[in-house]
Formats: sequence, C-alpha cells, structure tokens
Amino acid sequence: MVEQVLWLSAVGAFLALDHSLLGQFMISQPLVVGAIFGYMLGDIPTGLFVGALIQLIWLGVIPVGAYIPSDHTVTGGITVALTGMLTHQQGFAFGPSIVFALMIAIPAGTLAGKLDIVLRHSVNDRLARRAEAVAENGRVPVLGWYHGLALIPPYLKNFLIYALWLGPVAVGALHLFMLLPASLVSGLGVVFWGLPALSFAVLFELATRDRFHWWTVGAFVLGWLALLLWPGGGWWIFSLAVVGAGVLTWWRGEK
Amino acid sequence: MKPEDPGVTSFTLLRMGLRSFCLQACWNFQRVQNLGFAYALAPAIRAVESVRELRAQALKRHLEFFVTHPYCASLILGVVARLEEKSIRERDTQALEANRIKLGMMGPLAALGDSFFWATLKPATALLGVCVVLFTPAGKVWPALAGPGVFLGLFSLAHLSLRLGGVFLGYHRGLEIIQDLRRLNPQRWVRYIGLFSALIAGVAAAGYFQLRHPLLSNSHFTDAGLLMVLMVLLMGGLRHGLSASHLFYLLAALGLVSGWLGLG
Repeated sequence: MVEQVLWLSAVGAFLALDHSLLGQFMISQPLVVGAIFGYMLGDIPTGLFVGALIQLIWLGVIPVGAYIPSDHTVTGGITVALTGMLTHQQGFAFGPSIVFALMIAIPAGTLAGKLDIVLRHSVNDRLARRAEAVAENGRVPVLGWYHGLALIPPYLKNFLIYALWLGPVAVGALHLFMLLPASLVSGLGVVFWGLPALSFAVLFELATRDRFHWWTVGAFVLGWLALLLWPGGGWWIFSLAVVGAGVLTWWRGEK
Repeated sequence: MKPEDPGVTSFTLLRMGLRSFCLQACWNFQRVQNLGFAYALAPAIRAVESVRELRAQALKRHLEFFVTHPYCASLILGVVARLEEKSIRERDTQALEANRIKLGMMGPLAALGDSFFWATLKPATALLGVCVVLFTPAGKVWPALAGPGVFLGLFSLAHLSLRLGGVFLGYHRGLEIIQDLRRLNPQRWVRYIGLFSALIAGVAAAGYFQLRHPLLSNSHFTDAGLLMVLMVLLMGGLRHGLSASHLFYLLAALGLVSGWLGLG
C-alpha cells in the first residue's frame, strides 16, 4: 500500500510538471493521467472513464498569460487513485465512489495551484535574479543549472500533495465514507448521474462562446434521432458524425 | 566571431528547439519567461560569439522581461538568433533591434497561441479523445486506449511541428515570418476547428445521454430529459461566473440533500 502510494506520487508529481513548467506535451491532462494511473492500479477502464469525465468538466479552463488555474492534473490523478481504492480495494459502488473521490481531490488541485503561485514568487524570482548575476560573468552553463533547479520545488510540492492525499487523507476519507448512512451514499449516486450534465454544460458553453451553439444543438438533435433509429450503432454514428462534421466544416469554410 | 566560423547551424537550431520545451521552468512574476528564453537562446549566442564578455552582454540583454505563448516562442527564438548572428558578424547595432523585435512579436504571438492552441485545438482534440473512450463498447480496453492516443497524437502533430519547426522557420525567414503568419490566416483555422468541435460536442452529448456508459448502470435515474434540464441550469451557472468546481460542489450538496430526504 505504502509502496503504491509512493509510486503514484512520484509518477503523478512528474506528470504534473507538464501542466505548465516542462514540455506541455499534454501528458498532464486528466484523460492521459487517468489511463496511466488506471494501468498502475490495474484497472485501465476505470482510469480512462474517470479521466474522460474530469477532462470534460475542466475543458474550458485555459492558462492565459499570468493566470495560474487550479492544477487539474493533481485533481484528476488523485480522483482516479481514490476511486480505484474505494471500488477495487474496498468494494464500494462506482458512482458514489467517484463523486466522493472528486469532492476530496478538488481541494488538492486548488492547493497545488496556490502553492505554485507561492513558489514562483519566492523561489523563481530569486533564482531569476541570481541567474542574471551569473549571466553578467558569462557563465552560460550555470544559467542552465539555475533553470533546471527551478523544477525541483514544484516536483517536491506535487509529490507531497499526492502523498498526503493518497496517504493520510485517503485513509480518513475511507473511514468517513464507511460511516456515511446509506441515504447519503445514495445521494452521491444522484450526483454521479448529474455529472455528464455538468460536462456537457461546459461543452455547450464553449460552443456558445464561439457562437456555434446552434450548430451544437442541431448536431445534438440529429445525433439523438440517429440513436433512436439505430440504438446499437453508437460507435458507427460517432464515426459518421466525425466525417460529417469534417465535411460540413470544410464546406462552411469554403463558403 | 571569425568570418569562416559556421555560426548558427541546423544542430544549434535543433538544440534551441529542444530547449524551448523548458521555456517556463523558471516562470517568475518579475520577468516571466526571461530565464527560459535566455536558456533556449544560449546555444546560438555561444555559436556566434566567442568573446566571453560579449557573450555575457548578449545573454544579459535577453534576460529582460519576456512573455509569450510557450509554443510560439520558438518562432521568436529563430528570428532573434538570426538577428544576433547578423549583428555579431557585421558588428552593427542590430542586437538592440533584436530586443525591440522580440518585444514587438511576443504580444501578438501570445494572443495567437492562446486562441489557437489553448482555446480551440486543445478542447477539440481532447473532446475527440474523450468521445473515443465514452463510445467504445464495454470491456474493450485497447480501443478505449486509443482515446488518449488520438488526443496526444493530433495535438502533438500541431504543437511539435511549430515548436521544432518554428525555430528553423524563424531563423531562415527572419522578419518575413510575420507576413507568412498573416498569409496563413490562423483565425480561419480557429473558426474551422471551433465549428468542428461544436458539432462533435452535440453528437457526443446526444450519444452520452442516450446510450449511458456501462459504468453508469448503477445510477439512480436514466431519464435523459432530466439531464438536459439540469444541463441548461448548469449552463446558466457558468454564464453567471460560477466555475465548474463551484457547480460540482453545488451539485454534490443538492445530491446529498436529496439523498438525505430520501429522493435519491
């Protein structure tokens, strides 16, 4: 158990660096973190599904300029791991488990974002000033060392947050979850039922921002009708929709 | 720099491109990406300036305030490397010009990167990846894993091309790159991709509300109509400035109250 928590924390902290500091290859996105953590916990389908849900909920959050949003990498990773612990290791129902895990994990993402700001103020500002002094002497390789040093505090910060949330906080959360009366667990199930509504509210809002909302509504109605006429054809209807959307986009663009 | 020196080579540009992946490692509130920019530019400075003091001067100049979109910085790096090389070869004042041009390019490229990569391409490719996961029949793990693959593959194709190719393009085209970008008309691509993802979002919502994922079979209601009503209410919340996190906790509070009242 402890070994697993340490491994998850080490990998999660590394993936979180991709969020804004190193690479930004998008391996820190919840969909990818979900798959990796799912693999590490031996349950890829759950990891993928939880990652997909979280990816949709925070799809509209973008790190523009100096704005540092909550770290959804950390939120996603902790949610996947906690859901795995609650469902696989404790045998709780999936729906209430994911909602409970998300309720516990969101503050971790917020804390990671806030501490990021603190580190940038305290450590990075100081490192940048020292690097300027070094550059005056023409010591180019040392500049790189200062640059690399700046990655260590965020890694340690993310590692500690993961370890804290997957260790003591997870143990406390498991006990709390077991103490919950059946009626409240049932209420968490209702929240799980409503999560797709939140995800797609975000998507529709994004479409409205781009003034494409009527196209989204049209695609929704067409998709709805197609699925009514062909109930088992979800995958094929989605594939056709991708091709159709591509053709329509090209046609509108050419006009 | 001697006239026979090779100056900035393809290898130097490749190193700059790779170093640009660390542009934000020491992101600070005083000069933002200054250290990252100087770190990425260092191979070019070292290639063209052999005098240690002058190298130090050049690097110090590039430790001034710098902020742009991390993916678009490679274009500026290429242009600046070309100007620095020219100024050192000819010993003229273009070095100061390089700083002015750098400052002039960073704002428009930041806006371009934010609107194209963050606000358009990332949501579109992530949505496609999510749809692959949600629409894959139950029990098929490998096809579902194509979801993250589709997302990373499509997004990487665009950002890696720009980040690695951008340094070469910026160096070889110089200031012409601004005209090249204008001709490319990125806003048109933003509109294309925005429309595409809006259409996919509609179909995905229809499919998800109607089909339900196997992992959702334990949920208490299956009435898609209720979900749609809830979705419209949540959209209202988003429009009134509530974040997705706030709405989630609101939803959680409502769910817990409904469970407590025996409505769940």
